[in-house]
Amino acid sequence: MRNKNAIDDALENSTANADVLGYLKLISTAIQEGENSSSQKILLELERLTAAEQDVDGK
Amino acid sequence: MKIRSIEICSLGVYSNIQLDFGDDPSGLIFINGNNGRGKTTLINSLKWCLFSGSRPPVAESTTRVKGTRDPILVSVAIELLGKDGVSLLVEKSQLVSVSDDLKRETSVGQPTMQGKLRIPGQPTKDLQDVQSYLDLWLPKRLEDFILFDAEQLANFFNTGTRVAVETAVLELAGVDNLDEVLEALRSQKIVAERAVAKSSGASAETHQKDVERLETLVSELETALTQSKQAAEQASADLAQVERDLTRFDILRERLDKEKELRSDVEIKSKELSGENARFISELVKKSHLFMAGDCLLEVEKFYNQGLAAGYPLSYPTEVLRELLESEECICGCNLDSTNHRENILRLIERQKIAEGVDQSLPQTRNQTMGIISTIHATRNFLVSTNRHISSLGQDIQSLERELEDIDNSLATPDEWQSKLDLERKLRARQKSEQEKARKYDSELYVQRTKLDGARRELLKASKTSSDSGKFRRQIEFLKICIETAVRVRQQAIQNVRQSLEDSMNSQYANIKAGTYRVTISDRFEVRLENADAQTVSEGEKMSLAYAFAIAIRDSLHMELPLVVDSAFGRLSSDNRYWLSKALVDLVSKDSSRQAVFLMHDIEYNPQTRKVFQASTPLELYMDHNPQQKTTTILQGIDPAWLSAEESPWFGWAEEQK
Repeated sequence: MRNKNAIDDALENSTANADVLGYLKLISTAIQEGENSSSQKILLELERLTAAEQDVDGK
Repeated sequence: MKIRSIEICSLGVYSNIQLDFGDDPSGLIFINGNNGRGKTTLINSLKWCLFSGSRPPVAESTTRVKGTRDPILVSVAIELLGKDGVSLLVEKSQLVSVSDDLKRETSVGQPTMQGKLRIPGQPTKDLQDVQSYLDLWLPKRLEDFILFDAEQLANFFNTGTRVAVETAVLELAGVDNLDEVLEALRSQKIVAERAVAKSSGASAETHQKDVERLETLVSELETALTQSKQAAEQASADLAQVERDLTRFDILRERLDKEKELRSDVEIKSKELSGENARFISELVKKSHLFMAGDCLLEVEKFYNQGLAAGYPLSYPTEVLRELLESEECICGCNLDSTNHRENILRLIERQKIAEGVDQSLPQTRNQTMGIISTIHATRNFLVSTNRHISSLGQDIQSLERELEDIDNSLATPDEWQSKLDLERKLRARQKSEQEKARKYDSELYVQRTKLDGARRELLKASKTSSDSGKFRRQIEFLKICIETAVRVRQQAIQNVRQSLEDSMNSQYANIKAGTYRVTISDRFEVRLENADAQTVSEGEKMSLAYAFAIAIRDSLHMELPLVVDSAFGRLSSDNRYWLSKALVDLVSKDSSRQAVFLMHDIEYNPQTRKVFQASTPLELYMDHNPQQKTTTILQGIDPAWLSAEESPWFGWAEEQK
């Protein structure tokens, strides 16, 4: 039985922007819950995050 | 997590045992029994059930009762207790056909796995995919640090364990999920890249396909290159170890050469001894008449000298004496009136006869006698020296044989030697082949990367800007950042786990021998223990290193895994035993969901060891073995056989307690 692992810690302490981390966590949770990692929900989130007005660097 | 119960049916010495640890609060369970009582069968039964290890043999006691006509059902059931009262029951069973002479066993069909999940307040759930639950509860990657034989730990960090440590670290870091995330991101990026190409026309699509194909090829080549490099490095490391072993063997080989030399010396000396013995006996027989003749002549000479000393002068020849007798005259002038004088003269004549004979033959005989005596002396000297030589040869042979015995005792067996030489040859071949492969991959990689760069340039030229492609381009850029971040997070997580394990192990070593030892886990997951004075690390110290790693996994990384160890204290010195006892008590007392199960014999678990654990009130069990039935049952307490055996450290302990 696994506790919170080092990946979770490293993600929490990462300096990457919130959109990137949020997107990684979204896919990670989907995989853990046995969902499709390229589901409609995930692709829509990708589209939202990369819409024309969105700055991909998050700056 | 704890093991709550174990049930073993028809395996090894167990016809049917049920061990129920219940909710034992101490977390320390000692199952004690000397060799042959079933400690290893118990560990192997757990391995078979939990990690698909080899199945222990069918219990003889079962075949005796059930016969061998029908296959026998063997099984192991284990209940694991997790947090919040959740428990997982796993049962593995197998039908086994046993030959009449009980020597051969054949599995009938595949083993079956059944599982149940019990969550307090909910109905028990029958599990369809037991293995996936087991993987989650007890990851196979960590098997080496869950169930082990402590005797093997001394060699644990020598060779071939880098992979075990790497897999353990990856498991602890939890990279599996992130690897799947990375795979998903890469797939999404490819979809976006294809969409960009599609919006630019057929030519761009062709170039996109080229890029994808080349990227796959480059990625495969990179993996192959890394694997070959690692395999070559591993082969080098293994080779270094084998060469160290062979150097040790070389020293032994020199001794073996000396042994051959000595054996040949022994043979020569033995032959010489046997020759000398024969010669001695033959000379003794041959020269024996000389001894006798010499002795006779010496007697004669003695007699002659005695005659001279007694005043029988040879100046009175026998004829003169006869004349005196016939004329009835005596030497003294009397007329031989006295019978005494007559008898004296008669005796004198007799002696004179002998003396004259001796006197005549003496010079000639004396020369012969002297020759014979000198031969006798020479023969005696030869025999004495031969005898001495024989005795010294005997001593030489004895001492050579003692030396040979010493050599024999210190030599590796020829099989061991040969297998090391074979291994060396194989490792050299593997090292060479992997190095060649790596060179080939490296050069191929250069070619394919160049092609990939070209394909990307072509794709860029063919790509056209459109509103659709803009959207996908932004997605590609975003996904690239996501991939880079995930890769960094992965590396960081592994580094954190490694650092955490290293720190934990160093803090444990500080408790063993302050300031002397330093543990490092390299980037390649090699665990090394170095001591400040660069002394060789002892076998016991290596064993404690593996324990430190196993404890670090649980303590520092909060992996709640049971620890089950056979021959738990093995080669540990008393200092290290004390440290391990304290470390274990510390480990299990911090968290009630931790558990250590130790299987020990009476030398390991003795009254002194017991004292260290006493405050923690461990559950003490012993293996009660019935040699006639070849069965073992497990009972609570200290083995009464230990308490009554004079050679056991437990002898007299019960009385002391009273």
